[in-house]
Amino acid sequence: MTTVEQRTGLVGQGVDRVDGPLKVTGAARYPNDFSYPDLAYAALVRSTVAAGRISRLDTAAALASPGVLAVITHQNAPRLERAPDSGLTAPPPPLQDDRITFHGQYVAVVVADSAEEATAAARRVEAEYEPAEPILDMGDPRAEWITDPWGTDSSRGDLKGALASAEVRFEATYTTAANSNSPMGLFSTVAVWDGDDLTIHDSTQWPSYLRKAIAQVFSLPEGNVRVLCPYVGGAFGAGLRAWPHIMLAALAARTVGRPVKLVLTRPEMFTGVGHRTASEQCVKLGATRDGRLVALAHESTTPLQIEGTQFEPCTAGSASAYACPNVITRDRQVRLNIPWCNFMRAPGEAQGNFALESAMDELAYELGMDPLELRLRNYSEDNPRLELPWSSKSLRECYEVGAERFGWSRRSPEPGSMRDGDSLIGYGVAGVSFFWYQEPCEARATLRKDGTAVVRSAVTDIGTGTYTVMTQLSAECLGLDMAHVTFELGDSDLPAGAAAGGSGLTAAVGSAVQAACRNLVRAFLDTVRDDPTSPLQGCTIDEVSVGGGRIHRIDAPESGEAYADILAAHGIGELSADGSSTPNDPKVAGMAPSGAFAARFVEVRVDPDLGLMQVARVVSVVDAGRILNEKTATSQIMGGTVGGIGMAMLEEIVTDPGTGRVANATFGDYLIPVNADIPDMEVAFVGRPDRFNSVGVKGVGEIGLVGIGAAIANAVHHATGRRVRSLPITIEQLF
Amino acid sequence: MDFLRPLTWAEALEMKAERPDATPIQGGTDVMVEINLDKGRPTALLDLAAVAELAEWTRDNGTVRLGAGVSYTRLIAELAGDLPGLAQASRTVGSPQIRNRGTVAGNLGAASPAGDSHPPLLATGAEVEAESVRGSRMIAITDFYRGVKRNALEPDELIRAVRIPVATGPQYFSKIGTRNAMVIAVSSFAIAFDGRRVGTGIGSAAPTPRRAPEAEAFLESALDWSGPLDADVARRFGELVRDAAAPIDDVRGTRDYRLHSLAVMARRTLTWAWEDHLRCA
Ligand SMILES: Cc1cc2nc3c(=O)[nH]c(=O)nc-3n(C[C@H](O)[C@H](O)[C@H](O)COP(=O)(O)OP(=O)(O)OC[C@H]3O[C@@H](n4cnc5c(N)ncnc54)[C@H](O)[C@@H]3O)c2cc1C
Repeated sequence: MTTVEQRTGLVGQGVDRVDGPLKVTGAARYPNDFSYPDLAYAALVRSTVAAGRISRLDTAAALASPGVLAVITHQNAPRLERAPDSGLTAPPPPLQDDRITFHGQYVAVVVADSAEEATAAARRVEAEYEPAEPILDMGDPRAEWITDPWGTDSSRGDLKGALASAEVRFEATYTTAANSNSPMGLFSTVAVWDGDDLTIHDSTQWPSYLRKAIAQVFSLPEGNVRVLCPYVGGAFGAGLRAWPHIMLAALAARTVGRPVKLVLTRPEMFTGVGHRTASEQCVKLGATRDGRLVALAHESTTPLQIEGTQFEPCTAGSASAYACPNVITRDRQVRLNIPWCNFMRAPGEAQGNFALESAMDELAYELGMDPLELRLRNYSEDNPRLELPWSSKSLRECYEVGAERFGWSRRSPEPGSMRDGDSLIGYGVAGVSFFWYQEPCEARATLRKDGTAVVRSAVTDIGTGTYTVMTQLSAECLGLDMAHVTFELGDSDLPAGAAAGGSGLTAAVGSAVQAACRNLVRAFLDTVRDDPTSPLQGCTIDEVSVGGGRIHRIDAPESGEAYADILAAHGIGELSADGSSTPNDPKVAGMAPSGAFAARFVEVRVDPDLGLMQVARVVSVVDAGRILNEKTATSQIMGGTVGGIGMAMLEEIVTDPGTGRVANATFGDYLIPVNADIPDMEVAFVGRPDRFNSVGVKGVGEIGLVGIGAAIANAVHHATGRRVRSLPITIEQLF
Repeated sequence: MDFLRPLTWAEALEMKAERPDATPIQGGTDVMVEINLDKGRPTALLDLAAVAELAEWTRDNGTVRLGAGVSYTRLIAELAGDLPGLAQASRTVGSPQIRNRGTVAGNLGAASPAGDSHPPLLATGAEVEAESVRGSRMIAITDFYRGVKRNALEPDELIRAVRIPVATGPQYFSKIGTRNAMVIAVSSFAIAFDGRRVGTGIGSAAPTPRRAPEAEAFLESALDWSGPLDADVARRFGELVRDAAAPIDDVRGTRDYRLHSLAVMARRTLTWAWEDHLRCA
C-alpha cells in the first residue's frame, strides 16, 4: 500500500472547516438571508399541463390582491435575450411566448410587498391551456431521438466478432430512476437594481458564468452585473445553470423598481432546477473462461427535455474502465415533455457505473469467479481508449486495501449462504473509474502590511470545503499560519472562477492559487532585487523557500525577511499577484488525465420474510491523488455514499403518466435517506499525487456517490440470489 | 381564516358549538401540512394548545385517561410501562420534532388508515372520550373509524381524552415503512394480551384501521397457555390476520405485499408476546 505523499505543512491535515463556526452559529449568510430596505417578494405560477399553449391568462384577480405590485406574464414581459451557452445550452428566457413544454413551466411571476401576499395572489392567476398530447414515454413513436449527443461514443476492435466467438457471453438491461438533487437550501435569488447595475444573491455554483448569462439576458455590459454567493445551502449540480427563476427575480425587481426576493418552494425545486435523468442501459460482455474480457458493449438511452442539451454520458466511462480490446459505447437521448434534465452529483457516471458494475458481477457468477478477482484480471494499466498511461492510477490498491479492511475473504461465494440469525447477509463490490474534468480558473493573492494574506477567486464552496482547503493551500504556498490567511470566494467581481462541478474545482482553483502565491513571492523578490539591505537581494524564486511569515534562502534558512518587513521597508501598503490555470493537454502531456478511482465494498442484511434490506457497512477506498484535507475529503466521500444509498434504495421522481406532473414533489413523498438508513461508513485514501495538475489532486466531490448502487445490488444478489437490475431497489422486489 | 384560541376546555366547547366549521388544531402536524399543501383552506382554526386540562393524563381503575394534548414524547417518557404497545407505536411516529408536537388525539382526528396509534388502540380496546356543550360520551374505538380519514365525531364535538386500559400482558407493535424513520406505514400491526384475551389491530391495510376478530377468536381457542407456541398456530394466526385486511395498491406499497407482510408481522409479534408470556408466567 502506498499512501499519499505529503509535503510537510498544512496541506493534507484534517483541519476543521474555517467556515464551521459561522455555519453552526447561523452567521453564514445564504442567498435568502439577504435583505434590503423596501424588499419585495416574488412567487411563481407554473403550468398545469406538460405540452401545448396558454390559451387564456387572467391576472385581474391576482393584481387586485392585497399587497400586489405586479404580475408579469408572457403578455407583458419585455423581450429577454438568450443566455450564452456554457458548453450546455442555457434554458430559454421565461415568459417569452405561450408555448408549454413541461408541467411546471413558469407562466407568471407575482410580485408583492410580502412573501405571503405574493403566494396568495399567485394562486389567483387564472391560466387556461390548449393542451397537446405530451410525450412522456421513451417508447412514444413521436419522440425525437438524438444519437451520440456529445461525440463521446467510442468503438475499438471488432465487437461483433469478439462477442460471437467469446467462450462466455452475458447480456442484460438495467434501468435507473430519475432523481432529484434536493439540496437542503431552497434555491433563492435576491435581485437588486441600482440604475443599470444589477446585484444578484443566488444559489449558484458558478458566479462567473451566471454573471455573463444574466448580463446577456438583460443586454447589459458584464461589468454591470455582480453575482454573490458566499454560502450555498447545497446544490449537487443544480446550481450550474442560469435558471429561468433567476431571470424572473431580476425582471421582477426591474419591473417594480424595488429589490426582490424569490425563494423556490420545495415542489418548485423538483421542476425548476433540473434533475438526474432516468436511464435504460444494455450491457453485453464477452469473456474467456478464465475471465478475460474480450468484448464490452454498453448502450444507454436517457430522457431529455424538449429544448436544450444535457451532458449525461452514461457509457463513456465503460470505454476505459477495463482492459478489453473490443468495445463499443453508445449514448442516446430521447426528448420528452419533462422538466429540465441537469447535472446531479456524478451525472451519467452514477447510472452507467450501476449497469457496468452489475454486469461485471453477473459475469463473475457465470464464470464462477470471485467478482473482485474478475475486476483485477481486467485491470487497465493504461487508458485503453486513449492508449496513453494514466496520469495516476491506484485502483489496484483501492481493491486490495478495501478487501482487507472489509474482510472480503470471509465471503462465501454461494448466494444465500451467509446468515446472521434470521437475516441473510450479502457482500458486494464495485469499482469506479471517475472521469477527469477541469476548467480554466484565475486567482489573486495579496499580502498586507500586517503580514496577513487574502487570496481570492470567484469560485464557490457549496459545502465541499473549498474555503478550508484553499486557505490551507494558500497558507502553505506563502509560508503563513492558516490564521493569517483568508480565502474569499462567491463574488463574481473576484478573478474569474471555475464552476464547482465535474469534480474539477479543486484542481482548477488550487492550481491558480498556487500560481498566484508563487507569483506573489516573485513580486516580493522583485521588490528586494536591488535592495542591498535585504538578505534576499538578487534571489530567484528557485533559491528561496517560505515559512513563518517570511521568505528565506534555501541554502541559508536564517537569511530571510518577513513579508511585513519588506512592505514596510519599501513603503508599500500591500502587494498582489495574479495566477491562473488552464487544463493540461493530454497529447502534449503524453498521458491520459485520471479522475479519481475507488473500490466500494458493501454489506447488506436482508430480512427475507419481509423483503426489508438494510445497508450494514460500507468501506470505500479512494485514490484521489493528493488529499488536501483528510477530514473534508472523507466527508465528501461519506456524503456521496449517502446519496448513493438514496439512489439505490429510495429515490425516484414519479411522473404522472397522464399529465407529466411530478407526483411526489415533496420530502414526504420523495424519500431520501434518514440517519437510521445510514450504516457505518469507513473511508480510506490511497495513491500518489496526480501528475496532470500542479497541485496533484483529483476531485472527490462526486465519486462518493458512484458504485454504491451496483455494490448494493451485487450484495443483495449475494444475500438472496435475486438479481435486481433496476434502481431504486424496493421492498416488493425482495420479498 | 379565523383563528380561535380558547383558554379553557369549557370555552373550547362553546367555540366549537358556535363554529362547528372550525378545524381543531392540537400539535398541528397534520393540519399544517394540509394547509401547506393547499388541500382545502379551513374557514377557522380552533387552537387547543392553550387548554391546560388537555395536556394531562391520569390513571384510574386500571385505565389511563390520556388528555388530548399529551404529546407522543411525553407518552413515551411517562407511560411506556402502562401502555407499552401505544408507546412502541409512538416511538415510530415521525421524528423527535414531530413527536414533540403530535398527539394521539390528533392521530384520531385525522383518522388516516396509516396512523400509527390506531393498531394499539384497537388491540387494547380503547375508548374515545368525545365531548360537546351537549355532554360527554364514550365511543368504543371499533366504532370510531368511519372511513378513509373520517371518524365518528359530531361537528360540535371535540376529543377530550382517550381511555386506554393499563396493560396486563405483553403488547407489541410492528410497522413496515420504506425507510427507517420519518415514514408513513406501508402496513402495521399490534397485538395485546389481556389475561387470556387477545386483541389485534391492523393499520394501513383497509379503508380504516381495523381488528382481526377471527384471528383473535382462533388464538383464544387454539392457544395452550402453558406451553411453547405451536408453529402451526402462529402461522394460522398470521393467515387470519391477513384475511381480515382489505388493502389496495398505492404509491407506498402493493396490495400483495401488504397482505404478505401482515401475516409475517402477526406471526412475529405473537411469537414475541408469547415469549414474554412464558417468561412472566
Ligand atoms: C413529518 C411528519 C411525519 C409524520 N409521521 C407520522 C408517523 O410516522 N405516524 C403517524 O401516525 N403520523 C405521522 N404524522 C402525522 C401526524 O404527526 C400524526 O397524525 C399526529 O398524531 C397528529 O397529531 P397533532 O396533535 O399534530 O394533530 P393536528 O394536526 O393538530 O390535528 C390532526 C387532526 O385531528 C383533529 N384534532 C386535533 N385535536 C382534536 C381534538 N381534541 N378533537 C377533535 N379533533 C381534533 C384536527 O382537526 C385534525 O383533523 C407525521 C406528520 C409529519 C408532518
